[in-house]
Amino acid sequence: MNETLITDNLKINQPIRAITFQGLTIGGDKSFNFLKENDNKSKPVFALQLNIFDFSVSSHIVKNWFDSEVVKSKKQKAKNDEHTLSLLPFAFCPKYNSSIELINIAEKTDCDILALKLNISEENLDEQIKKAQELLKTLLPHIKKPLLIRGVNNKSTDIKLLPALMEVLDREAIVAFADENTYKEIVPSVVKGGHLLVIRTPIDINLAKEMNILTSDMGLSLDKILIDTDMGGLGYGLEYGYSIMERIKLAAFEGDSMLNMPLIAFAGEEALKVKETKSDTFSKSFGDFKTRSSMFEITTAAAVMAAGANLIVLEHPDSIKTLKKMFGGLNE
Amino acid sequence: MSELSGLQIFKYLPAAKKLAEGNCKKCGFPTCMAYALKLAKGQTEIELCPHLPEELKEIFTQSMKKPQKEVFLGHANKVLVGGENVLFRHDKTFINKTVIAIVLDTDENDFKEKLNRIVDFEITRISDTYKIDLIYLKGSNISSELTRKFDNLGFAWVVEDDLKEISMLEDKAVGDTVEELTKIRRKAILDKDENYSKPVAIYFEHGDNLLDLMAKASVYLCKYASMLIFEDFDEALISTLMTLRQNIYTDPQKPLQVESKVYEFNNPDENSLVFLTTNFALTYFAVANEIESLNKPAYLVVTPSDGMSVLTAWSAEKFTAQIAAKTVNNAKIADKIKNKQIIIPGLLAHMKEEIKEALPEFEIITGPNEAYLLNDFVKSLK
Repeated sequence: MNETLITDNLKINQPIRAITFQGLTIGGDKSFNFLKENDNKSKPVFALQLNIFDFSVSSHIVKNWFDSEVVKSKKQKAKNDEHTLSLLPFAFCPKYNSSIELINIAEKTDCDILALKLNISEENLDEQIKKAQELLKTLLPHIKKPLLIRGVNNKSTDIKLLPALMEVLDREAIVAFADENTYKEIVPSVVKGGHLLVIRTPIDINLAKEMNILTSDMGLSLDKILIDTDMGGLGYGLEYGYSIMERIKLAAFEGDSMLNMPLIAFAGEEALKVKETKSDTFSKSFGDFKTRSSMFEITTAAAVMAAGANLIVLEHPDSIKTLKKMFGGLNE
Repeated sequence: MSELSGLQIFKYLPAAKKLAEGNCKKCGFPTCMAYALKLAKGQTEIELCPHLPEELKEIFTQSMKKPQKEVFLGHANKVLVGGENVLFRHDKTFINKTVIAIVLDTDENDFKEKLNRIVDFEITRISDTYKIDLIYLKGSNISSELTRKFDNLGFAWVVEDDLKEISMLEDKAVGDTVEELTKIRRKAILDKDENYSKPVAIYFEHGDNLLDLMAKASVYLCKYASMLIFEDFDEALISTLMTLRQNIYTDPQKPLQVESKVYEFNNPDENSLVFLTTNFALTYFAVANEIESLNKPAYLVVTPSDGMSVLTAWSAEKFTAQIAAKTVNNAKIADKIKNKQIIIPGLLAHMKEEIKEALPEFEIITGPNEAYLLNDFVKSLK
């Protein structure tokens, strides 16, 4: 079907910027996801985010999945060794060798990008930052996939943590995130290292545009920016992020070159914060707790995908599998 | 063709052409312009003007046509579907929530069990309660006893023949379905093409993967399905989908605030905790959810802050010690509790002394910075 769907009221004059990153293309879309007028060339990419510094705070569904993967791989190694088999199941604790194990498992999943959240605490900040640097250094040789590194959403921590992490990076990475309060401290290291930068604004289209201008004035290339509109998880304000993404996409397609950067959404982190994914006290009509927790992440991600998100960051590998499957039929 | 503006309509009327009949008042309005403006808003009738050119009548009727039909489905109890008029919720708002229908087949083995589950399904989220919107009956044994049961319980039900005013799409590949849904909605809204004005439903046959179904149903709900019909019924899926629907169908034009008053949780008494926060909807929901899950009786005093969150309200001076005191005093909280303590948001810790001065009979306690820390905080109080 070659029928043109575009009419005067829906102006599509330019595509989203296409960023080539470690062999991937982020963005480059000419219309909303799933539509043929997108030329079937552009698909969203998916990142798997790990709370790599302290994995114990992860969602129950994520811990269960990784636990069972570790058990599976240990079982394979143990084979007929009765003694080793008797040590299972394996209880997870955040040590360096366990972190490597997490990375190895994550590398085998369907994700396009590996996102590492160095979720340090605010106490003894300088010591924690040193530990985070050491951890990242230890893990880098084991990471083959394109990499995203993430701070903790706290201004006073991130202005120190992110530049410190960039010091030890040995490759181009996506750095998340800077905002209007932290960009001055973070952008210089990003520019120096040639990285991509996620810029977050609080559901504010004008501020998003302004931030792109301010950071490019500091030397950041407009082709190295990912727009993070911020978002609420499903049931807790998802619609605000959803609508602002659609509005940015429309402005971008129409011709605004200060807004046509690819959109990133931390759908997994936001979805897995909400009560429905943390508490088993809901009534029977809310269904099985584990299933519902997964579904909340998947639905949050599906919604932002429909709104035009180009890079979707999730925490459960099956969520990524499910969402990527939806694009299996296209691009034939 | 989009709706005509008042000015566009006026150009056809006698006053615009400086004719003698101009401003004759026969329509009941003082001037042609006044009439034109009212007509544009749909607040008066086109027949009222005796001088209206036939040409305008045609153009006007065409422009005021609803792009997508509204259809009532059901018998004794009905559900409304369709009636959308925008492509993007931020253009105005989505209007009629996507109808969620479950197929109930009298010939299937699990018929009785499924019937009970459908009838029992009920969720409450924030201030809305949802049940299954529509039951799609199939099979060889659709008795009047069965349909009467649904009628009496308040459920809307349909059989295949009742869906002639709906466009039914079978769910195939996601891309194809979204393509079709988008085409239909664009043709209906942008072109006002009557061939595409029927509300559209997606029919999901039995599948083998609930997560796949969840992802697809979510995308279709966002992108233009008027109704989703499921052969598979899973409570986690439906409740998650209804949560998404609640978000997407929220009217973006309405202020995101809740009423400023005292909210009660778990039957509070004189020994209950008292919390304070602002009336931004998301703030309220986050805090209310946490208090709800404490399973302790508590009061939540919500200040009138124009829908601003805690810090925004403080910086805009929409939250001050005086406003807090006024709200607390109006609520007569002092009379309701023995331990005169109020827990204020952690983000307003710097206001503790000020609030204490404005509310001298209360002990002011600084709570956590984030709602999700309330549980741990309350435990540490004891």
